[in-house]
Amino acid sequence: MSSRSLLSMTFACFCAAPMLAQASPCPMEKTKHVPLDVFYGPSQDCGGFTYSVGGVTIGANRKGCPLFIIVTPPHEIAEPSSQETKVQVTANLPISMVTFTCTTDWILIIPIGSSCTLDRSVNLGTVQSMITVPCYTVPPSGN
Amino acid sequence: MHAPTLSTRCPLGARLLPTLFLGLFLAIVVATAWLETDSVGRSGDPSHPPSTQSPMRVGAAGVGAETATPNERQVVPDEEARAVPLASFEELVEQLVTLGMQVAEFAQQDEIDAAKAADREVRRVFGELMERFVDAGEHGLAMLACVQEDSVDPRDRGRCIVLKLVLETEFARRDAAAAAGSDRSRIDPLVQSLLDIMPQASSIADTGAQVLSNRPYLRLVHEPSVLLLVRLASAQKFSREHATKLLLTLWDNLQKNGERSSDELSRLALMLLVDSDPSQRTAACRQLLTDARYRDLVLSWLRERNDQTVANEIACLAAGELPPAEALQVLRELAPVLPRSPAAYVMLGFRAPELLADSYRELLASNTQPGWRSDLITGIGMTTSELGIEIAQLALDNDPSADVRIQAMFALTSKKREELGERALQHVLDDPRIAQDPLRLGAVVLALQNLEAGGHTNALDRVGQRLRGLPLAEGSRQTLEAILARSLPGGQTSVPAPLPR
Repeated sequence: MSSRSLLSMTFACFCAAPMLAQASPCPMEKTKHVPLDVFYGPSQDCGGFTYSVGGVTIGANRKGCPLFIIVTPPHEIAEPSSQETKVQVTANLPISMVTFTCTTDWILIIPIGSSCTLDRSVNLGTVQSMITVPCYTVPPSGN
Repeated sequence: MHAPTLSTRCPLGARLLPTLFLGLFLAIVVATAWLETDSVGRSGDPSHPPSTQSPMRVGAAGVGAETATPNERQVVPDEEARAVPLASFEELVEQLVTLGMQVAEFAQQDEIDAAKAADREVRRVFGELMERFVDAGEHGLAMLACVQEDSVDPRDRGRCIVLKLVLETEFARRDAAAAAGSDRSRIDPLVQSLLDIMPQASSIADTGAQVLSNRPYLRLVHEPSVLLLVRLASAQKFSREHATKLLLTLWDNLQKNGERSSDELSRLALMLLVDSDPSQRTAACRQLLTDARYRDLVLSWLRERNDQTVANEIACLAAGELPPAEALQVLRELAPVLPRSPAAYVMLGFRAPELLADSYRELLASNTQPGWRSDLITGIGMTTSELGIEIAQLALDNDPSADVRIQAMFALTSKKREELGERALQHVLDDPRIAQDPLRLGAVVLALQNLEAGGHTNALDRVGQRLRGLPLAEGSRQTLEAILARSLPGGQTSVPAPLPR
């Protein structure tokens, strides 16, 4: 190989590097934090109590037992950024759903939770933990 | 001769008979008068029912009348001195707390008969309390106001539960009376007093919110107090959640009772939409969403604002309160702001599974909007219906999107049926887009936890073996090993796993 060919190849490689980088465009994204979310589903009627006085019947039902609770952990989502950055997923986090059942329907006054018992806890999906990273790493400047 | 004889005997009988009858009559009158005097003396105190004492005393009097002279009767102590003073409101509440704790204790020890007996006593005492105290609400509030903030004493907690029950019953009783007599002078001040003491302690606020939220008791007269609580929430001196619930309840009641028209509320909501207070903003959004004329406006405002928290709150409110078809439309419109809102879809899934199933089938047929398909599978797949299983299996077998299949996998592994869960996991691992992607494999490992929760050891063994041989991220591998260690002896699967590719 002549010195001229070698020089051309070196020049071509030098030009190709930034072109390769441009082939995968920067998504211009950054992370946005989403706080913990606990959602209480509709309440089940764990039994009830009917009280009648003076011809008026009053139902003093306790409706404090949720059918389910969905817990979405704190996580990140991607949102547009003006910087040349992208998001990188660091972990999958479970969204969990806890279901409850009423075990008894005749107890009137007890500490909350005794007649509303946990049925099971399952994962219903995932959210991601993310970080923002620059799209291009700046090569270290030579001394 | 005969005539005089007859005439002599007849006057004698005529003289004796009236005397005998008179004597007998007087004896009866004296005896009756003596018995009546004694009986009146016993029943004079209305607070003590005769049934508790009368049988013994009547019996004694009867025996004494026949066998002994009145002087030999024993002296009975004065009834006033013998009467046990009636328990006060506070004492009855304390008695209920003690009984309630006994019921809980018996229930926890599975002594069901004892618990039922104690519960019957609770009901009797509670009935007595509500019947004796027509001002049970005022007494209850006075006791509630004394509850200590952040108390760890179980009796304080029990007391709050009893007082909540008293207040619920009292409000219901007074509301019924107010509706019957068109007079709210007994209920409105009581509601006002409760609102006034709510900021004092979180336990009082919790009790008040539970008693007043989604109930018909808050009226226009209470608006200033509710708005004060909203302002306190803005200053972080009161629960935001409670303030929002009370404001929403107030607006509902104002509309239902005709104290403020829908138009007036919508105009107010438009003004409050830009308010910086989250409770007022949420109430405004909810009001405008229920009015078809303003729905597009508020949705567009939510999208522009791009606030996840508000959008999520509104999505959940819509899913729980709007007619299902309209709620689904709202969720669809909010999708750009809410890339993930499983709670709202699950809520809607419980309300209208058919609607979500039909929407999914349509989108699958047209193979459009995979993100929304995934949300629909979340919503319907987590319900307990057979339709949920059917649609999740349809998605697992036919949906071209790997992410929708993963969502179907979560739905199927959450059921209490081992074969469904294992089949779903094996099926997604057959898809190379999933089996070669560490991020998606991480989701598979989290779905495997559902089998662990169900105690499906054999399925865990087989799927665990297969996952060990796949390119998991480090965190997912650790999670997998922890699951297997908890479920299998020594964490060993029955067949050694192949080396990771």
